Amino acid sequence: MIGVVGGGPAGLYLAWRLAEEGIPVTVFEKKNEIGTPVRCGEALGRESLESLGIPVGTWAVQEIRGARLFAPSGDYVEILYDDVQGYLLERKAFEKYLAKRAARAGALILAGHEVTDLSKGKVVASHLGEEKTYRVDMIVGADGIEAWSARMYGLNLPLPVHEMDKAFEYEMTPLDLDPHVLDFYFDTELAPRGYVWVFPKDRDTANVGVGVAGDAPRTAREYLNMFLERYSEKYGFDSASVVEVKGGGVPVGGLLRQLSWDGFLLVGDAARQVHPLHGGGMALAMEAAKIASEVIAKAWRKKNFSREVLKEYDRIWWEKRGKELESLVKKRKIFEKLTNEDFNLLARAFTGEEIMEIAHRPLSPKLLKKLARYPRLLTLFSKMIP
Amino acid sequence: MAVEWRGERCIKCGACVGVCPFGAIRLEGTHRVVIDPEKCTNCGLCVKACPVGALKLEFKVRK
Repeated sequence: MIGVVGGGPAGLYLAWRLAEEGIPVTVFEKKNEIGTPVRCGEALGRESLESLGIPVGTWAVQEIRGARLFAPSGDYVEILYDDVQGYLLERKAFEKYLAKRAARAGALILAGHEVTDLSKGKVVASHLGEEKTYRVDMIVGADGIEAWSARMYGLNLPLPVHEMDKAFEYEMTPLDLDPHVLDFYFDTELAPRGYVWVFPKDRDTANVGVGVAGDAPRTAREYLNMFLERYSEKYGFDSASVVEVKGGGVPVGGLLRQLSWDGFLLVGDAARQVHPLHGGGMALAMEAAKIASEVIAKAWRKKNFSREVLKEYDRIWWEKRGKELESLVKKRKIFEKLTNEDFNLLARAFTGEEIMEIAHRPLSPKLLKKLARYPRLLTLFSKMIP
Repeated sequence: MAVEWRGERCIKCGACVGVCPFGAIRLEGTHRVVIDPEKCTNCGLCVKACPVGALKLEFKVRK
């Protein structure tokens, strides 16, 4: 049996895939309610769901068609599409859906089971005070940023505080919103090294949150309060209710070279599989879980769960995503140098398409020519040319 | 000096657990953060990482 520590998107999706291969798998989730507490902005791309083979369900509560990126001056760039680009999820419902799919396929999901000890081949879990030992062929650590499973396994994988973001979010209603557009705010005072987001969940409800560098001087909650005060009139924060409080740490850097050991591997936030620019984790976590499930299926057939066999997961992940994430961490370190004047200039003089090009692609000769008019930006961004 | 956990402010997100270089903080069950004074070095990283200010470095006067 494969033991999975943590019933979030990574662990549940992995269990689903393994169960569909006919491999026995048990998910240990310490919380009594799967999906709680939410530590997330809850946005997920349509293409990710498609490539993961997850049909859109009622948990996808809002369709998203584009985004607006705001500079401190109020100027903004817009990236709008005619078709649906992604969804806001009701994440608790999404995770419960994944849990049910996994269970129907044959996985065993154990909510309210806290893993208190583990070692190669063995998991000890406590349910309402009663401890039980489970024999396992191998263990998957999918227990989020805490990654306590890795510590119990005997690994020390320090996460530098600068390589994480701290985030805090209120779900608020009713607000004055554009219900199909994600709003992002860039401002070094309101969100050092990060951004503020307003993500609509229905016509007048939104996740309003902030993620900042882990070593930023104030708490994420304080930064969010500053934003709520400054933009109160625009969205109507003053008279809005808070229907949920969410927050957490996001491992946006400190990528792990090694992801598997003898009889043990890590996926999701526990493996720091997070997008270094926007901090999104769900899509990468499930993509990694898919790769891991295929490697584990091979190990199952060989009855060999040694590092020698499991390291294929490390290799495929690093080829498919790891290298790209590494270059994005480098990019992020360049973007960290942008000042509010830079943001204002970018919003005023560049289009949404051009901003996307700067963030995600190698700079074209045309864009370099335009950047040449702004020496400071050119100097900064030319460091991104490989 | 000791790190104090202020439970009433905590959102149980686990950021402090992830960032602790010594494995000194643990989110026990679903509602309690436990700090092991044997392992804690008062380095303050968890205090920085906490999104809501639920951890504090307390200076205690020795009598």
